[in-house]
Amino acid sequence: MLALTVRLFQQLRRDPRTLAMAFVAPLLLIWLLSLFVGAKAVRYRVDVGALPPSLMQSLDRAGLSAHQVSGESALSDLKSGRAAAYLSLSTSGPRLLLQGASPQTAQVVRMRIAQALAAPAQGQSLHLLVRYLYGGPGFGALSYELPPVLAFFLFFFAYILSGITFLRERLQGTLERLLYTPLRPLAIVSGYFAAFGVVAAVQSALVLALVFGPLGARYAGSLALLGLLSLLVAWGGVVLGLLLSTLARSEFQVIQFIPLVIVPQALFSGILPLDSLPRWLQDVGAVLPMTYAVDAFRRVAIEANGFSDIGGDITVLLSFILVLGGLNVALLHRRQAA
Amino acid sequence: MDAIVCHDLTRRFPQAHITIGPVDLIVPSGTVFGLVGPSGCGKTTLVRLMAGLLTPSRGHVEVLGLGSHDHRLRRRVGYMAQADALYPELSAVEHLRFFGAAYGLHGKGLALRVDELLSRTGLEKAGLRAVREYSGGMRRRLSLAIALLPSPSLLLLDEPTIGLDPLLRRDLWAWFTDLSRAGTTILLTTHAMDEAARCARIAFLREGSLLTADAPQEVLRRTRTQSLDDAFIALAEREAV
Repeated sequence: MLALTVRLFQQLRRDPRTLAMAFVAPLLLIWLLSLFVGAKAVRYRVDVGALPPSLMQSLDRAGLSAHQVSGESALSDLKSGRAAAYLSLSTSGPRLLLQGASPQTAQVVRMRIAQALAAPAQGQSLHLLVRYLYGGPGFGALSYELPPVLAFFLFFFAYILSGITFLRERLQGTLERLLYTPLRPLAIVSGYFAAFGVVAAVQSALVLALVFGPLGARYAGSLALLGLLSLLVAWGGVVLGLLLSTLARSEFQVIQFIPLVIVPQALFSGILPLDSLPRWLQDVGAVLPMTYAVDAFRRVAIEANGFSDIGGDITVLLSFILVLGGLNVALLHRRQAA
Repeated sequence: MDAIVCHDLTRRFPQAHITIGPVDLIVPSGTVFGLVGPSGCGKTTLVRLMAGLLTPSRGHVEVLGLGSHDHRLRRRVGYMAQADALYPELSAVEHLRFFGAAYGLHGKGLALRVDELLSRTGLEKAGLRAVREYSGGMRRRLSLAIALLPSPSLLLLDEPTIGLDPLLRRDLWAWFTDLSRAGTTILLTTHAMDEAARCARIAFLREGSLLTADAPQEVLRRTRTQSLDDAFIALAEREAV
């Protein structure tokens, strides 16, 4: 038994990647998670109509940045996500229109506004008329949370499936054999892409059917568009899996890439609320494809956005697929003539 | 025309401090040519350089009149690696159909070629069984059948008979002879001297260097030895001096 332990240490000492995964990755991940848990309170922007100065001060004290704008500008700010709510006063009392794309933000903003209105200086009626631009009470937590989680799992499983399969192709020598046929690397990558595209399409259909069927989540936009997004996200996972398995030396290394490449996609893409994180960590999300997938899923499922509204997200996802796919083809060309 | 011409062919592996070559070698068309030597002498490296799967550090190799990386060779050269590169879940028929399609065969032509190769390799009965159930010899025969799919003018076979029982080796050698008579050039690697003796020409390799390249009888005559084992030892000792 001692000999076995010694042998394992000898192997570990000569495998810096495994050592890094054993010691550095957990520290890094726990530190990142601590940033979410120990987050500072966030000041949210709230657009407001004409409000008395004392109410503006109460809103400020409640942790809200109130900006006086016209009703039209407020609607535009809500749609773009710049403002979390629009508060106005009418003869029947205060009216609050919550943006609603994030249930956590909506809940905090609503609570703070109620707190500001209830301040002794206000003398305002506590009867706050609340409406939602997106979502709302009819949308349960599942309807809010499942679409982005679904996007992540489609990406993750496509990565694992394609990564391991392509690596086996390499390790069992069949990739070299394939590269010795008239098949071009582009044809090999495209073949993988098509096969896993079909798997992803079936997987997406099953997952969407489960989420919006028996699990009872609601969606506001087009189911076909959600299907298309699912396929794009899964293809993103496929190209990443193919690329990293081209670079990896063993199945184990494909797994080792998970904390480095996959976990940040779960943490910084917006599945978890990012408002409370330092700015530079929020910016990490901008380079992750999952950020655009999560945004598109939310905008279709919760905000009922159409194809043209999520064109930017789709462009980024397609670019990610094409760039990584192209990189993989280039690497295979190099491997063909090592 | 010569099937393969190597000139000053050298491949360095700096991390392992190994250099294979320089090798000057000519493989005449229509012959069975054996690259012969012990494990680690550079046989596989030379075959991979000829197959265009490795790039020379120096010198060049010409295969069927083309550079070894020329894509046109993919339809004219059959390559069989030392390790059986097969999909365990697929059957022999599925392998041959898949690689046949990769070689551009289709329809009736592909079906006929698959049947012909299954029959030639004796895999007809097992043709529909998954390869994971195959013995080592069956896998080797399937690998060879795949290399033969494009009806190549040149076959590069890396240790084609390793681990096979004597009967199967005999059958395969009969097949090599038939193919060679039909005009196919066969370059194979082996460390077995009895197999070297069956080749029309051989090249002895040791520690990355070419000791000699000639017909087996000529090697025996020049070294004044009775067996290729003794000839190899004599040449290796002469090289060491």
